[in-house]
Amino acid sequence: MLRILDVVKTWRTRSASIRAVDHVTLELEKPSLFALLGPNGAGKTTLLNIVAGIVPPDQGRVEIMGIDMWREPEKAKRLIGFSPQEGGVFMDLTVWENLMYAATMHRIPSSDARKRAKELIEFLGLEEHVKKLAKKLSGGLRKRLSVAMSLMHDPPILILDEPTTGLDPRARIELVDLLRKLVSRGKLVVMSTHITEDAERSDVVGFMFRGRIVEMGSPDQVKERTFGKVRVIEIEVLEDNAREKLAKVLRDQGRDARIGGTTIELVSSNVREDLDRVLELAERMGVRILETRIREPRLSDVFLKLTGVKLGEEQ
Amino acid sequence: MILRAALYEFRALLRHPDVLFWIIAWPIIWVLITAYVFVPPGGGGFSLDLAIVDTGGSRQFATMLAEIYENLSNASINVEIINASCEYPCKDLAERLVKEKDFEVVIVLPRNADEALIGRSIVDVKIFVKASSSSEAYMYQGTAMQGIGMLIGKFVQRNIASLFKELGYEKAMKVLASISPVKPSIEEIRPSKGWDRASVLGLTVMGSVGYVAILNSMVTGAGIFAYRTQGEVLRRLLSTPLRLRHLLVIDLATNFMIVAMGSAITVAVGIGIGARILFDPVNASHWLAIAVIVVATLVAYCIGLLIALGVKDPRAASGISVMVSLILIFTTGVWWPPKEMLRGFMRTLADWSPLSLAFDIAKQILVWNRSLDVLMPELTRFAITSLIIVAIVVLAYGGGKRLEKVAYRVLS
Repeated sequence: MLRILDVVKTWRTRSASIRAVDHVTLELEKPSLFALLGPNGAGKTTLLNIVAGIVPPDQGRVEIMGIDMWREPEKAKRLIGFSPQEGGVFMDLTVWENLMYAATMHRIPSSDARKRAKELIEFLGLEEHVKKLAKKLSGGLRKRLSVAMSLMHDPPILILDEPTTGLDPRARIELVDLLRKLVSRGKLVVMSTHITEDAERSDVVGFMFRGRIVEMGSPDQVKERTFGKVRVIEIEVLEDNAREKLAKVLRDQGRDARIGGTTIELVSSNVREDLDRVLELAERMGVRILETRIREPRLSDVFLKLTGVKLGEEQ
Repeated sequence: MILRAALYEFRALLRHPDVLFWIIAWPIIWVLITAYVFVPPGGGGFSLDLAIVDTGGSRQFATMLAEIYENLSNASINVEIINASCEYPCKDLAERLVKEKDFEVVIVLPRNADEALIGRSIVDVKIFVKASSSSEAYMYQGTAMQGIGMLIGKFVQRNIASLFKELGYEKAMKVLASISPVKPSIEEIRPSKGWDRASVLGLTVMGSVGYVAILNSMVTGAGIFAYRTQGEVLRRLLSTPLRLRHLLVIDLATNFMIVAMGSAITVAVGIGIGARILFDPVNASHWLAIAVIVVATLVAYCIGLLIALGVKDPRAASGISVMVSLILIFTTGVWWPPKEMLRGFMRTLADWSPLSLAFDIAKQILVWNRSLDVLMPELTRFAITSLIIVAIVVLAYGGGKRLEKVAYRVLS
């Protein structure tokens, strides 16, 4: 459905040039929810803008259902719906007017547009807000309106740039639920995000870092590929110095131990043995452990392991 | 498709308080200010309260003077005759009348001023005027002296009649010639360009239309794509089959809608308060005036596009377009004054700016009803200068290729 072949894009300013997308190649063949996961500045937005035909690549090709986006843009653009990070809605138009405007952009006849708008309003739960101006909507409702606008011409591929950013947890869950429903209706949904919880719910996740796709697969696949059959032991130590000391000793022993907040996260393939060792070590060092927890690795752990950079940190 | 899209954008813009104020409300406010402050109904002038103090035996004199003041055409004067038994010139009373009773002028007549009416004596009249400022004092003094002058004229007329009776025509003429050897004769000729209230309002209304057309078009042209960056609408639009040139046409159509609406409202308000705007649907020259305004709107948009190409920051481009448009509107005769009143380089600019030429032509046709043959040199100059500007824009944008450059600049 979507092929990105060796795409390169460099942004040039007077003083510097930044390679935003660096030889990216990926192929998505069946309806699924694809999450492009990466920190701010990784090149996600630039890549999606190239895929959506907004910014031309310096090199490479984008094919939408076999049609080259930059050779036959009008044909290719009919097959995608794009929703930019800030929604791309006219703030001074109502929900209904925004949908009609989106229909106009795709030359949908008025009667068909009205029918389609009613369907989407119902599907996205916007019935009570039809006459409201977009600027009066909450962030979550505005994102839904944005998705609805992108679906007006019923494209097989939906591209969403950071759709969950700025939403509260409940609105985020609801939006991803909605995207999953679209997948079940046969759509390929491509979304960029820097929120791992949202990426966890995708079918395929691509890790983007410094313009490159550094890993790709289902969330379970990438975790297993990165860590094997492992767990993460979380060791909570309140005292800063003690936490630092304990983590350093563990690292000196060749262990994958990182600090996150008040917690040391230790990747372990033998939880019982490792936990005993840590408790013994802490007792010897006089470090007071408040609590220990055992969990599965998250995508954020994968990203950290792959790049050495924590998600959420600016690049 | 383009018309429907433009209608939606037009609707969105109408919900924007900035657009409503600067393009609709402000020109109307200005027309109303002109109509009721600078050229108020009733032919202009001003109003003042005037007291005539009769200190005794001056009733006829005071009544005659009051009648003269009440009938002055250039001022609305409320006259009150006050009988007082003060000692001439009654300065204390005059001061009280000015300071406490708010009279602007107090004329004190001496006792038995009525005797002057039968030519028995010279009357010494004292005039007190309110003087909050020197210009105010000058204005009241002029009005007071105007009435006194007219009264003297009446006396002279009456006494000359008795002079001719007593001396005969020949001798009387000699006496008069020794007093006043010059007899000017004045005749009023109405100019083709009237400066009556209706015309002045008509010019202001056309100036307001010029303001709406130039400011909105230039800012829209300079901010091409930029205003769609709010909420990243531009990115969405660029992801649709719509091309940049379509966006340009939508932009221009929306601009024409805004200008047409702002102009129509301004003209309607202007006509409602007495402005002279002549429009006869069967008169071809009146339609030509409308066409000239439409072309001027396009030219202003083109100047905006040039600013957008030359200035990298969209916000700076918008600021510069406001500055350039206001300079062209206010200093080259688009709004006020007419270009005949301009001097120096401003007159030269007005003579060659297609925007000034356009609104000058529109004023001459729609306010002064001048014929096309008189305006032919200006029309030719307007057509040539407009073509030059449009051609420069087409060349600068490489037939549309540089639109992408501007759009990506806005996106980045």
